[in-house]
Amino acid sequence: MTIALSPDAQGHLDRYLQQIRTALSGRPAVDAGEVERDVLGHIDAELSGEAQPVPAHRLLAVLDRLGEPREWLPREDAPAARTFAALDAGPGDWRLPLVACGSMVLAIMLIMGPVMLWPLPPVLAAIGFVIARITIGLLDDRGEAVGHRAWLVYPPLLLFYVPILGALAGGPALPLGNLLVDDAVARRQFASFVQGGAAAVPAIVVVVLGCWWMLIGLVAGQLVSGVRAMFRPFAARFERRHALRLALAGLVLALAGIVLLMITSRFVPRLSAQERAMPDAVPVDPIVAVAEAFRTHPLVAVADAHGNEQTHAFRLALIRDPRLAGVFNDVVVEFGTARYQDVMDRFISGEDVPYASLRRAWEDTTQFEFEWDLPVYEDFLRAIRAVNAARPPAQRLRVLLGDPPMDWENIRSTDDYLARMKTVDRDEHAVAVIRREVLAKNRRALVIYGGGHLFRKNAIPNAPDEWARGVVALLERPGTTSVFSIDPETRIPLTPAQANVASWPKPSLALLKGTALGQLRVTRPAQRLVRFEEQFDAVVYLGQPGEMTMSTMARAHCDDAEYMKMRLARLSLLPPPPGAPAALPELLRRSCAAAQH
Amino acid sequence: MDENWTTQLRKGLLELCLLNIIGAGRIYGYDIVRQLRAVDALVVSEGTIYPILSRLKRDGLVRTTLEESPSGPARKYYELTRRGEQLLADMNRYWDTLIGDISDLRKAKS
Repeated sequence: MTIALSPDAQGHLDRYLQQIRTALSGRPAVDAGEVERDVLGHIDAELSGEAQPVPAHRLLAVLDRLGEPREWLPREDAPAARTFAALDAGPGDWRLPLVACGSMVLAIMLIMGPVMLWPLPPVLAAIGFVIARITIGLLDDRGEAVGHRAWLVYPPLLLFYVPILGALAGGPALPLGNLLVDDAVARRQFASFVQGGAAAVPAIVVVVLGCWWMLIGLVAGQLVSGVRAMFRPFAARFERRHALRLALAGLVLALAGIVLLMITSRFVPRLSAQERAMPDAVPVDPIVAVAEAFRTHPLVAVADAHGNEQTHAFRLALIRDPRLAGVFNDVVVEFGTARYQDVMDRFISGEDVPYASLRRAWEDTTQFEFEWDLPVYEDFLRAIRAVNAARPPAQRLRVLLGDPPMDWENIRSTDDYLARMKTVDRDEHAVAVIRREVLAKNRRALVIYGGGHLFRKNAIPNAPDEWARGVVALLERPGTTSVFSIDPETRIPLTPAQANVASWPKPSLALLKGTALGQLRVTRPAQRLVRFEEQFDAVVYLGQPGEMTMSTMARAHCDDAEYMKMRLARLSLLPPPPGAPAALPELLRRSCAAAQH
Repeated sequence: MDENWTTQLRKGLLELCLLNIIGAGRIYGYDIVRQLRAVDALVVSEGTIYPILSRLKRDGLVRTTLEESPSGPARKYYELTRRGEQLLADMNRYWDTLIGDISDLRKAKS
């Protein structure tokens, strides 16, 4: 404006412009900034011949002719707004603010309570937000101040605005920063790429953040009314100059980051070979780590080295430790056939179940070998039954049998068996059980499967797809479920990758990502290179490979003629796999020879 | 007279009046307001026209140019686009037909 206004008149003008912004926000058909400039031009033209500074009463005469901004446009009630407007009895009505705030409070209570009823909390929060926006719209239309209702209307809005604003402010710098903090490999790769030292990493984040601010500043400058509408009513004073200031701040930030990058690449020594080496994995209490993993993952998968007694002891600790009581609800096992889920449910809940029925759960899986007949597996199930007997109902565990149903009564030959196995996908079946019985019911499960079923990466050379075909890969591939996978390593020596592992307490758990242990190659030379950290999230150290012991058959089983006949018949169905130390029936006989009474 | 009816009628006619004023030749925004003041029956808040002008511009019916003014800030001039001229011709034709038909109705009644 070229005219000078008295302070009083200036105050009136500022308030009038504010009314224009409020009235035109959320009206995409109108450029609110342009209308504001037109109105200022109008006032300028009207008062240019007046003595200056122009007093308030002269300005008010012009504003009076211009009229109330909220009456300039017809009300464009959305159908939803009309519906909710029926709940609004007019000035002073508190019902809509109460509904808005009530929805939000209920959402928070559900999230913090014992039963979340997903996805009700986000739906309620969204309802609270929409009603709060409608309330603001109705109050604006009436020209009524929010007043004390702000205490009810603003929180549901801020519940959404604050995270959105945070995400907008951080932009790509947030995930990049997280990646560089969490991932030592990425951190070093970035630092090497820009030929800088450790200080190069924050400099990269600063540059990205600066560029992002420039971008959103320039975009927001073009969409002033859109920004006001998006963050209504808090952005009513937002103007193009604010957006340009943000862009300018971004420019300064980006330049500062570039200068820092130049300094680090010129004066800070480049990464030495030692710096490039991965940091050591750090051992922690596995119970604490598993409890922590369940905070962020609905599923924690623990690899089973079939028959290994140390992994069995570790699993027992997981179900017995009171620190994990109530942390997870289900235990999904590979060593049980879903055909006998009802029998297992009754057994685990403490009912008397005939042993002849119970043993079918692990004896009649799709696998013809005798691994599940080893006493550690039956012992594990009995341990869960005992744990349940001592715990309140809310903390009791359910055992889910993950192996597909198998009709052994119809299998009499190798061809029968091979034909039957072509119709089942063991991993797909386990995933279906987990999705149906665990994830769909908002429960948490400990998944116990052989290590191969928990691989993420496909090690087959030239495989068209880098995903493995196991339980974890099938669950994670769609991007909706995240599994925390643990390998209690029993076969591969860990000390060549990190010598101090030998001094770790047994058991210890260590995260693998970005560590020396994580770089350990876990595939054979003929296979694709897959590192430990790509297959599992964590390793559990139970001792050196030479210290591992294997469970042997129970004497009672070996003396059971009917059992031996059944198992030897099944073991004869297929030849032993290449490299097996002996034929499978011979392995059973050896295990029985070592059997304990 | 029903105030709501006259208000709705005025608002509907305002756009027609605006397009006719601009259609008469390139014009300074503030002068549009001054010309509208002369139409007594079309008493509206003067500010009402600015959102309408903004919408007409966004719809591609008018275009604006800024020109330096010796007596103040740069002035914004409005003129019709080809689409605006076409729409104005259609609206005027419709208005003439409507006025004619309503006059005929009133004559028949009297």
